[in-house]
Amino acid sequence: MITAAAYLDCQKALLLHRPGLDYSDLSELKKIITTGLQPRIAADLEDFRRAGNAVRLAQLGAILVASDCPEWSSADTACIGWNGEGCAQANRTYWDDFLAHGRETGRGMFFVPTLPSIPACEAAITLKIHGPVWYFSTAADTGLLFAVLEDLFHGNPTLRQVLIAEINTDSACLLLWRPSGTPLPSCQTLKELFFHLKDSRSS
Amino acid sequence: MTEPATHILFADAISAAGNHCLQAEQTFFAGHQAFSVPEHFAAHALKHGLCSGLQPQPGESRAVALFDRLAERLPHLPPDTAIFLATTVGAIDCLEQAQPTAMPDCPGILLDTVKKRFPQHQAILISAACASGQIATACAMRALRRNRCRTALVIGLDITSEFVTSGFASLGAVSRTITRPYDKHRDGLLLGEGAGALLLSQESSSSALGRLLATRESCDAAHITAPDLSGQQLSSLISAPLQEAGIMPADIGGIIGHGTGTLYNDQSEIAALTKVFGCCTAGPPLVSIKGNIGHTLAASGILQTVYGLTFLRRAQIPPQAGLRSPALGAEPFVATAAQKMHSPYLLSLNVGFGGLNSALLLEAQP
Repeated sequence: MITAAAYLDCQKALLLHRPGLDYSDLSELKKIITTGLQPRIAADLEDFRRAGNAVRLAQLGAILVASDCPEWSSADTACIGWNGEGCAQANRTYWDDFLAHGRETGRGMFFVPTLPSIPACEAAITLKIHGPVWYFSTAADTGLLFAVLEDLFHGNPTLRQVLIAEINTDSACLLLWRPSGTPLPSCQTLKELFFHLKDSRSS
Repeated sequence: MTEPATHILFADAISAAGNHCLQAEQTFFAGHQAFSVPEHFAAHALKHGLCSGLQPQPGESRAVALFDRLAERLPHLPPDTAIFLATTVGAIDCLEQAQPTAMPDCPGILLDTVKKRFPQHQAILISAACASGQIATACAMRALRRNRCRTALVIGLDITSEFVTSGFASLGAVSRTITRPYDKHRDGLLLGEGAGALLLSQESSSSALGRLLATRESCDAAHITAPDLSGQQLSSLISAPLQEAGIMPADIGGIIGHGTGTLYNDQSEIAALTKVFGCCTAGPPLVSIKGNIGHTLAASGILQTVYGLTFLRRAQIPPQAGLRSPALGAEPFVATAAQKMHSPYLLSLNVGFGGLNSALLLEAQP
């Protein structure tokens, strides 16, 4: 069961239950979130300033999902990254910067995001999620995603929900999921699943 | 509720400690630090734990060459085997050699290599920074316990590269001399490379090598690179698999720690172990194999399990390589000589960037 969801890019955010948001860039979205978003979500955005787009999208998307959830709590939650564009862009950015500095000095602020798990970790830090956090990549089939997440629930009896993050460099889709008997449609991406759910609600 | 144990049917590893487990066992129990300066990239005299004789073909990734070496030694996989690949940067040397605008999916290149080798099996990639290896093992255990596959092959692999070394150096994490996990005068980690494989099943076998009893993972959710120095999250995590398996802290016979040799990692880990095992004069013996072979990133969790089976078989924890004078709080745990294990239970720890923590409980084959 999907209890909350958000799809966002650098100009707009759509939520499953609540009205969407328009903004000129992610810095403006951050301002909207920190000053006017209701309900107010406790969030740590300390890393936002130095982060690249993938991390910014993950951080802001996580807060939007929390605000979309009728009764948000970060307790007993996992945060799992799945597919998306992975770390290729971040790797290129770090390596180009390293080469530009004469192969002498890498810069940590570019190195840390080269791991595909970092956006999910930043989302977890933002919302203080202490449950399992990692990234995995499978064939483009949400059926495979949810099979692995059902495994995760089986092995963690206290787990209540999973924040799933599909992060690209210019868009992101995040869903809050918990197991239920109701099957979800099989989709290639979380974005596809989000719009399917959104359409189902409006029709 | 106690879950049925997961059986380890096959285990193998390649690292700076040796091309085979027998060589590696000798390296560990001699307390040998197997480091040298690489020739495949400009390492600026920094030592690394290198797999000997690894020479990829021109244009071939070192990661692919290392995987091929490991894959040749794997047993025949039963039809219903799922593959879990743990890597952080995968074939990162493909980026180093790529055209300036190219953006190769370096972990994906390694996953594709695995899929080509085993086209009839479903393979997924797990990436959780330096905790990837144990978290991939945890994913495999859970899939087996839900009967989603009959056997699971878990592979952990990462290579040494200019990309990774320069990155860790940029964070001030690399030792300019030699790594000394859990030592009072430790000044950083040395990087290493390695590959390991575990074949797991819920079905017992007379030839099984050991058992995985329980596993848990968590996130500090505090800082993207720095661990929680109080050890609070890690200590809670360690307690969970012990409770699941019905084992008291006093029953633990030995610990393979994450022990990178950085100031903060080791301090956090010692704080967590002290919370769980107390400040007694003698806690369970602790070792970090990174003192012997360096930090092998995603491979480290798999290598800890593979080599941990050797330690369980000998009922001994090897001496801590690089140790001269234990860090404050580490005195009850580490030693410069091999320590006897009083029980068949071994705890293995992994932590990683993002505040990721993983604990895995192994048992010697009864």
